[in-house]
Parts: sequence; C-alpha cells; structure tokens
Amino acid sequence: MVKRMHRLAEGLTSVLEFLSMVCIVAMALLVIAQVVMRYVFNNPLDWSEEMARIVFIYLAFVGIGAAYGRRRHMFIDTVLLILPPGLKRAVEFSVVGIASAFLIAMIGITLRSMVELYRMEITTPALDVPMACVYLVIPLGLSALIVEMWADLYREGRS
Amino acid sequence: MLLLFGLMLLFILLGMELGTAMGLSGMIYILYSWLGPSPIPLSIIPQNFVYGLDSFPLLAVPLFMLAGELMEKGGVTARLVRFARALVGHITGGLANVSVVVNMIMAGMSGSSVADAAATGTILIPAMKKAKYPAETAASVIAASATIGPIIPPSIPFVLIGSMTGVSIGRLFLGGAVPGLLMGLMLLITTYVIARKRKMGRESEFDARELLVSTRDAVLCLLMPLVVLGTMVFGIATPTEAAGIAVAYALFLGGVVYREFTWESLKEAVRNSAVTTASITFTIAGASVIGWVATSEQVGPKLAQLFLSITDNPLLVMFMINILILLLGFPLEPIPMIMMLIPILMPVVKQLGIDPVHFIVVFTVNIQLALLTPPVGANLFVVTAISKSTILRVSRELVPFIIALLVALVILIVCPTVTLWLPKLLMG
Repeated sequence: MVKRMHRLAEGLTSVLEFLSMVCIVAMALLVIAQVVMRYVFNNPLDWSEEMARIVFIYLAFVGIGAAYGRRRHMFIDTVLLILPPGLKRAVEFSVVGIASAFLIAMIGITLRSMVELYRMEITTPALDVPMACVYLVIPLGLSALIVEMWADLYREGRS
Repeated sequence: MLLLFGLMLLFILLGMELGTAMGLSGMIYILYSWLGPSPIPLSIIPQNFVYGLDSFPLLAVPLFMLAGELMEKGGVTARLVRFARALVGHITGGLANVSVVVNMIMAGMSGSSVADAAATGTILIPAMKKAKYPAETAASVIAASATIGPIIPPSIPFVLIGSMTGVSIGRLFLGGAVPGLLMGLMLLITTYVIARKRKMGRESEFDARELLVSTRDAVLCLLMPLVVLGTMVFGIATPTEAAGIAVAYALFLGGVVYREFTWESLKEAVRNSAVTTASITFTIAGASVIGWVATSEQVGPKLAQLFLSITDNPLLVMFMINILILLLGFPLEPIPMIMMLIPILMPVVKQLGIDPVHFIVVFTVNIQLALLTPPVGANLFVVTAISKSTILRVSRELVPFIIALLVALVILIVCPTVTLWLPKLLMG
C-alpha cells in the first residue's frame, strides 16, 4: 500500500517536472522568436510577450510540486536539524498540516474568483484568453503541491 | 502587524515552504481584518499571486538560469579555466588566482552564485588539490569568488529586485559591474597574501603561446558577456530578450561550435533550470501577498520613522540596515532575504533619499555573504561537498575572504560613486 503510494507520488513528480520543462522551453522559444521577428523579419509579434507571461505563471504553479518532490523548494531547516527526532517529526507534521489547510482554503478561494472572472467575461488584452484560464493553474498546482507535501513526509530514508 | 511578521518568521524557521508561509501569513492578516470595521476580501490573495508573477522582466530569471546551465554543459567553463590559467597562473597563488578570474568571467554570463560555485568548483578544486593545495583552501577560494556571480551582470537577484521595485534592471546591471570588479580585486589581493605567507608556488611559467592559443579557443565565450550587456545597454533588447539571446548563444556555442551537448545533458540543463525557477517564482507569488500587506499597513513609512528617530544621517542608516542584513544572513539565504526584506526596506530607502540603485547593489553584495556563512550557506555546502572537507574547516579558511569582501562592502557603502558612475555614464 505504502509502496504503491510512493510510486504514485514519484509518477506525479515526474509528470509535473516534464510539464515545467515544457514551460521553460516554450518561454525561451517565445522570447527568442520575439527578438528574431522584430529584427530579422521586421514584423514584431504582439502576442508573444503575453503568452510568455502566462506560461511563466503556469511554470510557477506546476513546477512548485515538482520542486517539492525533488526537495529543491525554498525552505530553511536550520532549526529542524537541531531538534530531537521525535519533536522534529511532530513539528514537520504540524507544519505540513497547517500548510495544507491554507492551500485547501486557497483552492476554494481561487475557484470562487474564477467563477466571478468568468461571469464578468474578463479576458487578457492581446490573446483574448479568459482570465479564468490563467487562474486555473492555481488550484491544479496547489492540489499537486499538497500531495507532494504529504508524500515527502513519508519518503523512504527520511526521519 | 508585528504578529504577522512574527508568524511568518516562525513558519519559515520551522521549515514551511517559503511561498506557502508568506501566503498563509497574508491570509491570517486578512482574516484578522474581519474583526475590524473594514474587512478585506480573501480574493486579494490569488489576485496578488497572479499580479506578482505577471511581469515580463521577471522572465529573465528562468532564461538566465537556463543559459547558465547550457553553458556549463556545453564546455564553456572548461575553456575559461584554460584561458584564466594562461593569464594569471604564473602569479604567486597560481590556481587560486585562476579561480577568482574564472569566476569573474563566469559572473558575466550566468548570474547565479551557487551555480558558478558548482561549475568552477568541479573543475578547479580537484586541480588545486592535485597541486598540493589543502582541500579547504581550495574550497574557500571557490566559494568566495563565486559570490561575484550575481554582482557582475547579468544577475538574477538584480532582475528579481528590479521587477519587484520598478527600478531599471539595465541600471542595476551596469551598477554592479564596477563593484564586482572591486570584489574580484579584493579577493585577488587576499589569495596573493595567503599564498605568500604559506609559500605556495606559482602554477607555471608565463607562456605567451599558450595564452594566445587558449584565448583563441575561448574568444567566443569571452564575447558572451559583451553580447548580453551590449544588447541591453544600447536598447536593442529588453533584459528578458537579452536573456533569450544568451540562451540562443549558449545553444549555438555548445551545439554548433564545440559540439559538446548530448541529448541527456540538454535535458538535464532544462530540468535543473525549470525546477529551480519554479521554486523561486512560487516564493515570488507568496512575497507579493506580503508586499501588498506591507503597503496597506504602511510598514515602510513607519520603519523609516523608526530609523529617523535614531538618526537622520543616511550613511548611518545604511550601516544599520547592512548590519541587520549581515546578521540575518547567518540563518537565511539570499533569495528568501530578497523576498522578505525588499518590500519592507525599499520604501525606507526612498524616504531617506538614498539612491535606489546604490542601495540595491549594496544589499545584493551583502546578501551574497549569506552564501558563505554557517550554519546555512549554499556556496559553503557546495564546495565542501566537492572538496570532501568539512564545513568547519572550510568556514575557518573562509574568514580572510569574508573580511576582504566586507572591506569591499564598506567601500561600496561609503562611496556611492563606485556603483553609480557607470550607469550615469552610459544611461544618463
């Protein structure tokens, strides 16, 4: 059971990692294309910048789960390292507990904002993409982050 | 308000992911406002998540990161080491000088200190050990000289701070050039003195032919900083586009000229930069919530008042702020320090009439020291791991280098001209 969970979490991390790699390559291509079109073809693109910015927002929320899964996320373990093992474990559990409560609340809040944005038919200026689609990555990414946080607590070779 | 920052610090110190801790503290602040007469809607948080990241200049961060990774995998680092060896290897202190110089050139391409420490360390630390340098000396030279990375442009911290505060990134880049050279000079003096005292030899005799050959081999790498900076300074490209050009150039060098890329190493470069970027950008999302709270609570003006009640001398305030940053640097790392401190400190700086470019360059030099100081210091960890020495030994060896960098920091604080001269000259 635990083993299967591990494999699932590992799979999720790989998928998230792959998606973030796609995002960063897309961003690089968009920015390079923008320069090339402006100087080489004298035909500046009006949508590339906005598109790159949206991809960047996606990268942040898709990639944070992958970063957590690879333990490359931003955190400070100075205090944790000097705690006795039992207390350390308790602190880790409560921190992840509090964090997931916040993230679940965030998912709810964002979904409500999305409904509102969708009703008001707010779209991005150049591409005319509904703003709700930009926000969509927040609940998706945060859900994945919650899974990665709990999976990390049970990772083998820890504690 | 104090409660909010106290909570945030508590969560962070207990190991919560940074962006989550910041967003959570923001949410607690908003919920607290519901007790009062003017409740703030919670939808402020996702709004700040998106607005904090919706900035084209910020895109330079992942692109410079990618360019740095590509250059290392493409064989640029190895060529620079050979060039620096021919250039300064014959001066007393030999390979230690080489380390400083290579890091200064690398600084002109990558913009991340830890990446530089890893890239130059893997090549030069074994070389120095072979030349009978003690492992911890070799490690400390690399760790210290890698701090120049984000000061000499391009620089990831400058992009972050510039897009958070609206200060021109081009100006910041130019502002970092001379201070970076100053830091390099200080470190070279230190290696020279240490080498003299310990009677460490020179690496080799000066060889004009080797210098010529290695220069020719490295000339395309050496052009890179000029290409990146030039396009920005002369208004051909925005910082983000310059970063895109850097990526294209790195691909060209490693793929077409040196042909050192493999499918695997390319994938590795993309993967590393994607994951690192995500971990930084997510904290930016959280930091923009904290920034919003700090603005609506008028933290800046209040803090400025506090400083002004002690002294109204901007120089003294600069010293106070810098001592505070140095102390925070022991447990914290540069990026978290940027996220937490810049939204609070920038309004203070503006109110006191300190030039924002001057302050940001000084701030960035100062937070680089956090990479060297135990208990937490990424450069320290990286070089210790490569040299197979211990944290304690390397830290001890780092002391003279840290002092040298502190001297550079004081010079930068006292003489704003060192920083501001170049941006004024080129950008008016």
